[in-house]
Amino acid sequence: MSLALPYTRAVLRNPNLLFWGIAFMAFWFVLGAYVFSVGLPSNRPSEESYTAAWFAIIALFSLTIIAMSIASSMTYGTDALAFSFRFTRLTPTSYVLSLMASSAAVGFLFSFVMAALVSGLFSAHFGTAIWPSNLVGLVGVSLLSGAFMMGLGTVLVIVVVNYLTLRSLSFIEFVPLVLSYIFGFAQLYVALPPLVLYLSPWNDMESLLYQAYRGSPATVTLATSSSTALYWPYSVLGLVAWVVLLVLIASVLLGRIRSVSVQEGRQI
Amino acid sequence: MPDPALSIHDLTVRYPGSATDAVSGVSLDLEGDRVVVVGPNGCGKTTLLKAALGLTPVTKGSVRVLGHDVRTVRGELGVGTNLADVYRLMTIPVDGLISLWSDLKGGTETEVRRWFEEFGLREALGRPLHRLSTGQTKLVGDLLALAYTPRLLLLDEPFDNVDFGRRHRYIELLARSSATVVMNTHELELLHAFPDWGLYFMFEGRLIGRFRAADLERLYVSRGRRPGAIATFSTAVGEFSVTLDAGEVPMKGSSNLSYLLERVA
Repeated sequence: MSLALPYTRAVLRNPNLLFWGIAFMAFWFVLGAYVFSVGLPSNRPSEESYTAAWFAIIALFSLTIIAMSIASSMTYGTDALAFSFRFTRLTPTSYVLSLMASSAAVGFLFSFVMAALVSGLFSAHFGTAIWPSNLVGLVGVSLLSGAFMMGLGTVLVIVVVNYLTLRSLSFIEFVPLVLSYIFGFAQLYVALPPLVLYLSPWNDMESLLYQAYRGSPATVTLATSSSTALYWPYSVLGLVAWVVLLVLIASVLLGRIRSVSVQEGRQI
Repeated sequence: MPDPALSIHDLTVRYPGSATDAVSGVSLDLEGDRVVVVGPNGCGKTTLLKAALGLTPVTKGSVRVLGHDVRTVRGELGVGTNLADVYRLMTIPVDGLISLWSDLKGGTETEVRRWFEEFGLREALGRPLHRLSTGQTKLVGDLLALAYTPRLLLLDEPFDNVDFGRRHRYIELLARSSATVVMNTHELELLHAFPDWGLYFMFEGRLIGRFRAADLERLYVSRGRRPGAIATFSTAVGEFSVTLDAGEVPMKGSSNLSYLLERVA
């Protein structure tokens, strides 16, 4: 785990990540609070649900951006990884766990910054305090979500390095973000079967982030509070299972990492 | 009897899309000795080292380092190299890189930090590798390669872009190491600093030798097959013989092998 601290430090000092992971998301929160809220029923439950849903979806996007940025930087160090796994104490599993720990720590910090932004902006707009209800839950789900995103990012990047051309990475990098959009907005408006919501890690994260903020369970359709409530232990179980699966897959793939030149990634 | 530090058998490496082998049918067994591989740019020296480190796919043959198949070896701490890319695990200043690498190698930082001071690299400590000069980057790799008492040391052109004074210091450090060493260079005059080392030449992916570096003064290269030749080899420009004490062109005084072969041809 010797890499977790330097990685975390590097991410927190990266102005690009801070901009896209926090500042850009703050822009969406402003839109959510002051533009898209027009027509929202003026009652406490609606405002709470609306705020929690915005927090959950935007936190999901932010975590995706952080994880893919860290994961894609692996392509600059394929020689270093191939050498280190053979001739140092670094193992593929400890490397993945270091990345996950780093991403979890950053995810935790970013989630709290975003929770603060959401609380401030949405409370100011609605004229009533809408604070996160379950801080312990928020810590847990932020850490778990950061770990999941990092695991997914690692697997995607190593698949590209080992089995595809590096040139395809700039397209593959968008896959987690696209899936975050699809599943994130689907749960907002579409009544997906509960089984899909439990098996989909994006919906597990979204449901848990929503519940941690609001304090009551997420529903099958977040925009419809009367829809079926989700059972949060299943969401936790689903997410933990995904994290474990990704650690295993990433460890196997990293053990076979191919040495590539970053120049292979040039489009032209 | 311990496994050889490096055991290469019939190694062939051909890069995808290439019509020729980068390394062709190379065999080498080393334990406790030091050899220098001399060859012109592009002859396959670096590919040979990369294959020995598992950093390039092997088309044919086998490579074992410290008794392990290089494809599957894990956590073997006794191997060092100066290839700078293996130290680019993340973008951190060299100072942090030393700490990180000491942790990963399970060694102490004291000695390597003292070397950095001795080599006048204090100023480099605050910068990441990509912000160093070519010579500084080379020296960082050279010193990290020698740190943590490796049993097998694979050095690729360790003196490229390194000034005379620091070359001399590094030669002294190398002499104190007990590692089995394979060192690539394209500079024939460097061999004078390593008279007790074994010597191989490399042309177009093939390894020729073994000679003694001390015999450089006595080695000649001639065109064609010569009676009494101690080695013959073929290149794209023809067949050549290496002879002792007599021949067409003496190796001593030749600044590099490409130039030497041009003179003979």
